[in-house]
Amino acid sequence: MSIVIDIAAQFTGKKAFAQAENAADKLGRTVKHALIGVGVTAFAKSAISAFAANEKQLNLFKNSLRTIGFEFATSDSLAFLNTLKLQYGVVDEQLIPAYQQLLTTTRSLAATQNLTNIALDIAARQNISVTEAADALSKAYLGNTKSVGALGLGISKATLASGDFAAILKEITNITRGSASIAADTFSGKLARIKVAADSAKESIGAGLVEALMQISKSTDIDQLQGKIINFGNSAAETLGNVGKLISDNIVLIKSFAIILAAAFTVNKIAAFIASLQAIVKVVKALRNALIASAIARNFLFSPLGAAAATAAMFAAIGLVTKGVEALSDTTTRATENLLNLFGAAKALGVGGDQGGAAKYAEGAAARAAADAKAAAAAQLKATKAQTKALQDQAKLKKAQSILDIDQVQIFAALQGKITEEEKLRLSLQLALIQGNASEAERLSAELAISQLKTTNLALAISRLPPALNPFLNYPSDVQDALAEIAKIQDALNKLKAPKLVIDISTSGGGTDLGGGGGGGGVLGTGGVTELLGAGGDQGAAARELEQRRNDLTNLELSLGRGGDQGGANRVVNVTVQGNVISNKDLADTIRMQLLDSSASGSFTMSNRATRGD
Amino acid sequence: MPTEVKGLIELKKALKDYAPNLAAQLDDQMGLALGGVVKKAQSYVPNESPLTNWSYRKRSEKNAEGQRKFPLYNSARVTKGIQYSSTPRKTNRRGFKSVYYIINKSAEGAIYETAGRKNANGQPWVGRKGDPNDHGVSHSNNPNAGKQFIQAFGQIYQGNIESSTKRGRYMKGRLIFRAWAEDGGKANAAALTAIYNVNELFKQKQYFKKVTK
Repeated sequence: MSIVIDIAAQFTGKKAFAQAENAADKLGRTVKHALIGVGVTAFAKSAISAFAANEKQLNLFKNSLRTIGFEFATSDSLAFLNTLKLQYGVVDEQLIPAYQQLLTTTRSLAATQNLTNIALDIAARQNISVTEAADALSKAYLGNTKSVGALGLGISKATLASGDFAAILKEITNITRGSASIAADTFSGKLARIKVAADSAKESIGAGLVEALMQISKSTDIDQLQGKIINFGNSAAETLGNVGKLISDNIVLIKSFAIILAAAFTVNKIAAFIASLQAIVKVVKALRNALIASAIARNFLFSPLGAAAATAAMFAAIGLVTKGVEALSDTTTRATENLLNLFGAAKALGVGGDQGGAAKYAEGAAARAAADAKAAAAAQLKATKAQTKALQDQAKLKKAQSILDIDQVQIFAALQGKITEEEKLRLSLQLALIQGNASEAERLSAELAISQLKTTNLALAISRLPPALNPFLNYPSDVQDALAEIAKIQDALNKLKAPKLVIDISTSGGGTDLGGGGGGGGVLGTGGVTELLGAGGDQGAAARELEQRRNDLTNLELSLGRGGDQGGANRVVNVTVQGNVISNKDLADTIRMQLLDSSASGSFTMSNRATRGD
Repeated sequence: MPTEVKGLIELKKALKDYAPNLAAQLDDQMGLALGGVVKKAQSYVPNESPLTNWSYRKRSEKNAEGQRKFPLYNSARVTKGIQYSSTPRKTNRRGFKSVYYIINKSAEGAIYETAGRKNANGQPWVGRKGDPNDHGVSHSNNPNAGKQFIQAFGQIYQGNIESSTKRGRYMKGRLIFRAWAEDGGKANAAALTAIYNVNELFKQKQYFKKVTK
């Protein structure tokens, strides 16, 4: 323990005071709940539940007494327990089981009542439940003193060991006498007693409620009744909500209806009522339509599945109502006609007195009804205007609220600080995005992009780049040039003649007969070859022809009796090929290809044809 | 009577949350006000044990089972245990919570402080035969042990009862109560003035906005 000198302190209250205050508050709340009622339904449910639990416990108790042959003592026992309950503030949930156990053990009413009192004393002294105390006493009565010893009452071990219940009981009584009374007189005990009384009242109220409600609802037991009450509460709440909504939605019409009804029933003149009926019928029709439309819409909104059945029922009701309204309307019309006839007759008879006044009043009532309808329309218009104004105000408020928007506030705060131009742009852009300002956001984003480019010197680099070349810049002249070139090519092609194959055959030695009178060399059949090739010439065919001519020439030489050889002169054959066949190689290739083509067309077979891949 | 300052705890919380500089100022001023008393009380702590065999150097402070025995005197520990504090204590049985106080924490310091308050000649002697659980009597072999123990400590001083909730003997002591009595209430006045001044400053400056860290 430390030694302390207090310099400054503060009174913070005592724990015990706080506990007492809490207990009192709790009790106050309970009583408030019970007497004033936070909700009637909640209290009714609570009371009925308490009654049901109590009834169940009593039935069990009665049954228990019946089994041990003490059914006759049920009412006396309950009266005794009720007295104890109110005297000591012990609830039934503890007292009845304790009494029941003691009676079952002792099988004596007097002993049980005495032991119950002692159990109450023990419970109060040791701060345990009566059930525990009664249990210990029951065991001690049967010879098991361990539980009594464990209660910590300070009973001597010798007494406990003796197992003498009377001696034990005497010692217990000496120790605990009056504890229950003392405990009951404390603040806490008094609270407990009040609570017990309140619970009893609650059970009684519950019993009365149950009785009444069972008769009303034709319930057979409490559980059924409880379910019905809960269902009723739920449906009642829903119905009240719907009614409130309907009234709220059609308040103008309902007001008109009320005004007209008041006008009709506060005057003591039939004629005025009849005149008013027209207005009544008119308003009822309007009201009916509004209500029906509203009800149907609500049905479909909240209960799509049940809407069909409900709407069918509603239409049936509508039919009846409509019929009733129409009937009322017809009746009114007839009554009005009769009234007018009556007035006409009376006027004719010159006895207009009261009736004239009634007619005047009826006219006045109709005028008032019309004025009311006008006022209702004006009210409606006013309400619409008010609604519009409310919407406008809401928009203004929303705008004003945006000033306090935390994101915007943060952005504004950031804008106040020392920031770079780019950061400023970013914040402004963010603000524009939050505010939904599209044009400003677009402008700022463009500026931001430029700023970013500037930051990275890209803009400068891009600005210094030469303009991009346009491939189509000189498109027409290029095309013209191209066409001109094509035309030139075409002309060149047109001018291009077919290759002329000229074969110069030179024969040396004058001793031949071939030349006849010619002597010397000459050109053999060049024109014929040219003709053979024709324009554009088939060089393959020309080659074949050339070969043929060569063969012919050889044959001719042979037929001439080797005159050439005899002459001893060399024969030189010069073949000049022009056009596509320029070199010897070209000629050989051409000939080979022609041979291959011929082979493919079936002229003869090449030995290695298959290896060509044809 | 210790001064009851209504709202002192709330003021401390407010200072901590809204005016930490004022809270620090209050702590400084309280240190100046109460530090003198603490220093003086510490100066009254004997350097050596008043009883030779009561010193922690002479014997073990624990028994064979390792449990703590009767506290032995340690001058340094006593000196260190004398201090002032601004940490609120638990609410006492009368519903008061001390916020500023001077405390003598150590066990041996408390013994030296208060020995002889109740019985100037020590507790009644019963010797070894008495109930060992009865701590209200002397179990020593020496019937005069208590008297000699107290006499070795010297005079016990009456504290300043004007500034305390405690009365009579409960304000007697040899360390803090002696220093408190000799101070003559100046420290108490200075402490309360400091609280008052800080409260006034707080009200004047109107710290409505919580200081952001």
